[in-house]
Amino acid sequence: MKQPGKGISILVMTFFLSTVIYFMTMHSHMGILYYPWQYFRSVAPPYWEQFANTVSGNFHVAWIMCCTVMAWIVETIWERFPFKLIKTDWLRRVTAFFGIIAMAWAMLFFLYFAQELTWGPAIRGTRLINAPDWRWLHVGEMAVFFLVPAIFITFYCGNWPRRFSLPVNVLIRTAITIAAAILLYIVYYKTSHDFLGTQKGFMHESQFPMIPTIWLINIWLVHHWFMDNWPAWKMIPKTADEIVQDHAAEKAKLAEIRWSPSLGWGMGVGAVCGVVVYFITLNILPWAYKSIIIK
Amino acid sequence: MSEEKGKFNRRDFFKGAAMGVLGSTALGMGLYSYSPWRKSHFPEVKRKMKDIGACKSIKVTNISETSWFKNATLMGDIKGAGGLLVNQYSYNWPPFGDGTGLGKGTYEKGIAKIKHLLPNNLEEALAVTERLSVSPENAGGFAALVEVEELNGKKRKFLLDSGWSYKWMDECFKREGIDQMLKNREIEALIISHEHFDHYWGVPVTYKYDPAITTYIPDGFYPEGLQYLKDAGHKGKVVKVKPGLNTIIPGLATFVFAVPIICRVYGEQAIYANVKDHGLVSVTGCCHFGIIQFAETAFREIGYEKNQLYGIYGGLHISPFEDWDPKYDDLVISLGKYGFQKIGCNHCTGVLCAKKFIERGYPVQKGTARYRTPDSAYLGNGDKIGFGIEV
Repeated sequence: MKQPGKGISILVMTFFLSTVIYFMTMHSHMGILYYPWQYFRSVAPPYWEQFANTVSGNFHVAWIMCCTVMAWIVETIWERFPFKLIKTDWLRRVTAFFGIIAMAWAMLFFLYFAQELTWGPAIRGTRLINAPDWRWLHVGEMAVFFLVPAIFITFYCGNWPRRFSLPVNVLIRTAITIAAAILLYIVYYKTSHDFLGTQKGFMHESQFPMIPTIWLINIWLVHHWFMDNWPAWKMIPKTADEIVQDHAAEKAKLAEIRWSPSLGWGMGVGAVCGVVVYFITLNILPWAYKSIIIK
Repeated sequence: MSEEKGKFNRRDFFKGAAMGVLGSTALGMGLYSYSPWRKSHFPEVKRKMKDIGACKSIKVTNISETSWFKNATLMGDIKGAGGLLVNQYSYNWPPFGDGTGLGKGTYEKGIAKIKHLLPNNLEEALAVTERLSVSPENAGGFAALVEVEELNGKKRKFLLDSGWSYKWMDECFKREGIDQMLKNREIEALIISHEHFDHYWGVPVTYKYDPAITTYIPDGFYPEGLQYLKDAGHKGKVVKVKPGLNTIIPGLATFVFAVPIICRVYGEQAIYANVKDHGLVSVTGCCHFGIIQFAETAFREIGYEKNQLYGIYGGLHISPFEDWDPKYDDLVISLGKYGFQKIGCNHCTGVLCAKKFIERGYPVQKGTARYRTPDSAYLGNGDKIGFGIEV
């Protein structure tokens, strides 16, 4: 299909799918806003009630935000790794779609668990910091903190580092992003009440860090996409030769990742290390959170 | 590929290790973090079972639960002044109106107009504040009289909050005889739940009748609120209650929660009463921390009769503006499992919430809808509720 038909078709299809997703995720939430509950117009109580321990649609806000962040992370600091290792187009696309959702759910569960480890299990019916609905929403807010450094690394640091193999580069960037996100989270909650007019602490009803973080990201997007990072950077369009060289380098980078016994040993050791890192993190988190003293 | 067959290749090893770390961490996050196994990481709840004593009964008289009369006016003012995070002293509401208009006030400018009239000349202060303030006719207030009967039969009285409007609160005090009780020094302490306008700004009305009354405030008052205690003419003892449990008399304690609250307020205290042979009663002002949090805190901190959460009185801060959100349904659904046997809710609970409680079969004590209380679904102005005593 040619443009503009192609673009309009994509737009219409996106709108259609968004509507379907809205009905699946938020319609029940809206339906029980009414008194009495709109039993016949919406699924009431919502189908996620038992799983998420709340009737609030914040549960969906959480995983959808995680999906957004994960999609951006894959697109930026992961350079579409590992999905771009799959050569078959349709398989790569399908795997990327569901893979990103799977990783987003892993993020969702972990960030919820992190709060449970810090503040204790959520208690349904309580308010704010102890309530499941607030915890889910906070998952979404925490997720956006990871997006800020990821985008910064890509837009303003040229996706540093690039000197190692692709998986190692990705791992280093991910580690930097996690560290920077934690730092940003601490700085935000320690200082936001001084310049955003929010209340001190994590849990005020109007404490909504998604707003300033997404706002900042939007500015960066405009700066990067429409201003080519000017005035800090000056755009020099690549020559055709340079573009060809880039494509060749990309192919070589992918070709470099193929099975070998050393790779296998590495994966095994890495997998064990990953599990160890995960469980060490579980033990460090409560202590780390407690050390964030907001005065 | 630089690897020769059978030879260890460091670069490949690190590539694999990086993939392994990323993959297994993600897998661990996904499979373990929301599984039932994760619960083994939660510390076991150890009940402190702090003994606060016991009382024979507790009776609560609703002096006023109507903090404001029109939601639309209140919300219009709040939005017009910049929203729920704005410092409440800047709204230019009574009694701190300075004539400059909505959102332009300060405590200092407002109190300067009336300070010389507090607490004995409230009529003139009222006239000044009605002239200079935004929406003076909308101000009401929250206050309740808590009467505790000790095990030996001795009765002791406490005032929970002092409302907002000087005029409305004075009328309410006179209607319920609070003015005389204060004059006679029958009420031994004023317990301020939190610094919000509708619970605290009417404090000169209490001091008009008893300026020496001991006043308990939660830790976290802002400088304006602390200064207002002095400017309102208080001459008695001020007790700043630190976060946590604070026993006042046998069977009666307050608990301070260090919570941020809308309109730039911090910290709230509420009352626990341990009623002999019945159980624990919660008396709250606004309960911004949530009634279930209050119940869970009681479970962790206090030992109480029959291990029974017996009763509730006060605002539960669910739907103060009669709005609704599914998370409020979480509370409505969950409250039942705590087994409260007598619920006297009002104020910021919201009429809709009270109706939902009733529909679920909770033991809500209905009211009489007198003195400008809008609905009989909950305890209204002038209504009483007893725990361990019939009223």
